[in-house]
Amino acid sequence: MHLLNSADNNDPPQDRMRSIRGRRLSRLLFLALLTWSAAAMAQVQDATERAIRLDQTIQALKDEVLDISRDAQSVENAVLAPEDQRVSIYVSVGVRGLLLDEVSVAIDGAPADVYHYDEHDARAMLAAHSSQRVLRTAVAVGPHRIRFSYSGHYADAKPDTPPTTGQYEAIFDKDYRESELEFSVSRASRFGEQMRAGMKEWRRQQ
Amino acid sequence: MSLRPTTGALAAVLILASATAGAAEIYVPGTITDPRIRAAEYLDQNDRHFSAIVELLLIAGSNDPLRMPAELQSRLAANYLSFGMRDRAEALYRHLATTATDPLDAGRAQLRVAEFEYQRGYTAEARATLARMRETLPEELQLDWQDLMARVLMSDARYGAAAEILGEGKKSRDQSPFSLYNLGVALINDGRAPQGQTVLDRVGRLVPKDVEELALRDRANLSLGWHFLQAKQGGTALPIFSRVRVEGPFSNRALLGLGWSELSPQGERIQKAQVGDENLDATPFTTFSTLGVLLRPGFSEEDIFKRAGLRAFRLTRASKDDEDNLKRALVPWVELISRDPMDTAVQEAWLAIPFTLDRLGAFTQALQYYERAVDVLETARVRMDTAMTSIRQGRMVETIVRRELDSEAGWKWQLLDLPDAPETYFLQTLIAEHRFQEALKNYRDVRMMMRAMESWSQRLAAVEVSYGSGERPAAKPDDQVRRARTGWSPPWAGMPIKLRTDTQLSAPGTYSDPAPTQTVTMPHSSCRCRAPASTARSSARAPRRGGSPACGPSSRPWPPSRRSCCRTWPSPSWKARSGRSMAISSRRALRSRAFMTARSRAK
Repeated sequence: MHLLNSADNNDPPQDRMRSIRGRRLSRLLFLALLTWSAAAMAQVQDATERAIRLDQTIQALKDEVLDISRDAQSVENAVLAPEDQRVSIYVSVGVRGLLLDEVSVAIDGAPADVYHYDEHDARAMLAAHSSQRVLRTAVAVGPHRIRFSYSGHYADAKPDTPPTTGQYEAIFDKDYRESELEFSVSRASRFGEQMRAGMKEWRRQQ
Repeated sequence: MSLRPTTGALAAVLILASATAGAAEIYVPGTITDPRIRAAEYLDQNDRHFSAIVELLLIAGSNDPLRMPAELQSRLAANYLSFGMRDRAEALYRHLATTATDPLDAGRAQLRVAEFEYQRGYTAEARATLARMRETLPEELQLDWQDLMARVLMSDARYGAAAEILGEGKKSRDQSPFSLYNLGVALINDGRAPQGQTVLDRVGRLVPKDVEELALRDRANLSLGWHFLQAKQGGTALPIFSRVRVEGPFSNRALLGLGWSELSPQGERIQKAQVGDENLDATPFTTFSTLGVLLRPGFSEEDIFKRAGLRAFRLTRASKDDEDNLKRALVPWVELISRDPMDTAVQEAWLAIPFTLDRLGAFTQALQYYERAVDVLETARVRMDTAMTSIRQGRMVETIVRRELDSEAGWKWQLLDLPDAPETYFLQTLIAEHRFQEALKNYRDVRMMMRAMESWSQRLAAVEVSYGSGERPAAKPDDQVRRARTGWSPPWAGMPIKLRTDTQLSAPGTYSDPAPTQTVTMPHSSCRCRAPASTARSSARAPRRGGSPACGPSSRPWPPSRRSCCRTWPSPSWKARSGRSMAISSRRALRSRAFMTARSRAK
């Protein structure tokens, strides 16, 4: 605005020409600025829209991958551990602050399946209603001997403290339905210091 | 005090239960007693959301998750959201909201959805979600709602509306310092600068409880200081910059501002605007690690030129006041130029010092400083070129992604530290933004899924080998039938069935015409079975339907029989029945089926 009003009609022609050039230049600059800012705004909006479109495409992709994974898992379960032979072993911890280091499960004379925990895994075990499936395998119908052992430490234990360990051995009868066994580590009594491992069998309601 | 054994020694508990396990406990699939649901919970807690979703989908099976128990739905929704699948999660949460018994849980879930929408850039959707939940919002979530709604509005540059939201209801003492900071920024951007300044000043003097609040305090002081500096209120900006820590993410910019505050117009004394809760200002926070300590008497007066690397000189054009101001401005700037020259604040300080010297007439010293600044900036330019090359190669992003390649944390994944790369410095501000973080999370997720698919490809190949090897024990047909019949009830169950004498039927053996027969070739080439024409097609198709391999020495027979893979049927007594009685039976069967279909539809 200052540039537009600065030229006087009494000024010499050179100054007027300069003034007109200045006006044109300022208008051009103003227009360029407007165009640039509009383009910049459009660019930002376009980038946001593209990001949203991409996010939705990825959501659809995730959906497909999840479907494939579910089907693949289903096929793997059906082939490697058919439901009539399937045994699923779960582990849960009911002692606050007890972080598992490892658990092992062995059925009959088969080599034990050992699961090692890092800090993050072990803490996840302490969440309410949390239990981990450590093994899914196939066995024949009939009685089987199962052996479970664990080792862990308390979150505030000193490095030289010996680990807390325990084991449980039992015989379970496998029938033509899937067997779901849960081993839980808990205190033997409410105020006691002894740990106790227990086993529970679950059956799906038909 | 710890409740664990004080002996700390081995507490080995050996229980040998030679007896068989007790009776099984029954669970309803999809409820909290379902061990698979609890396994999904473990996966969720372990940030393995992808696996948790697969587990939950397997529990649902062919059922629509919306028809499964609420425990499954809520876990599925939470994992969907954590894995960045907003649309799926929202559908489940909406359904859960209609049946929710705990409004607090429902409210928290809605807030999580809105937070996700805000971070991913779905601001309109986030606003809609927040507006929708407002009517049923529990009191406990009021502040969280306000905070999120204000952030959403501010991201759309609707500062006035954001200030209104943050200013309503609760007193400021109940609000988090972050909400207060946002309120201050919203007020200033809405043109209500005096109120905004007061609110930011309050945040700038809060007693921090943790490192985050300390950083927020610095940021509030920095924002407010530069706001005053731009308004030519150097005198007001000076003490505000002085509150910022000497070492911190905002200290460089504050040092720069501190120097300029000494040289800029001091301005008029500003009256504080009243915003209520004024008594909160009575708890100023002081520490020796703030920038104000740099300006202590003596530190700025003695040897500042020496510390700036300048020889003794006489100022020809400077008054006493100007010389004092210059000395005080040099204190923070000399400190600043000793820091990383890649920081723009440091680079500006390298130019600000000679500029000021030049203005005061110390031309030789200004020239010396300009020459040193050229060297510093040239070095910075070379580093910037290296960084640009590195950015184009995508090395830093690749390094970030490679660190936790198989992490399934999805939306909950957090970038905790940055790799040591040339471009890290330049990208740290960009990386801190939601738009970069969320895109990076999506990129990570896609990489993780690609690896999951590769893994499945190998696992399924192994499954195929196992399936074809015949190593698996053959399933006992009786067990399979028993298992299939578990929980099965006949479709006519509950239907009253009465016995009556059917006078229309002919006595067996009245008709002597043999039923038409057709030879059926069973999969085993050596077995030839005979079946009636009406059943021939279905019998021939049976092996393929069952998915059983051809009957042979190493495979299971079809139809299942322990003795032989083939059997002649129908039985002689069935074969003896007349064509007429078969037709009547077929018609009755059809009628019965039609009736049952109609019945099931009526249900």
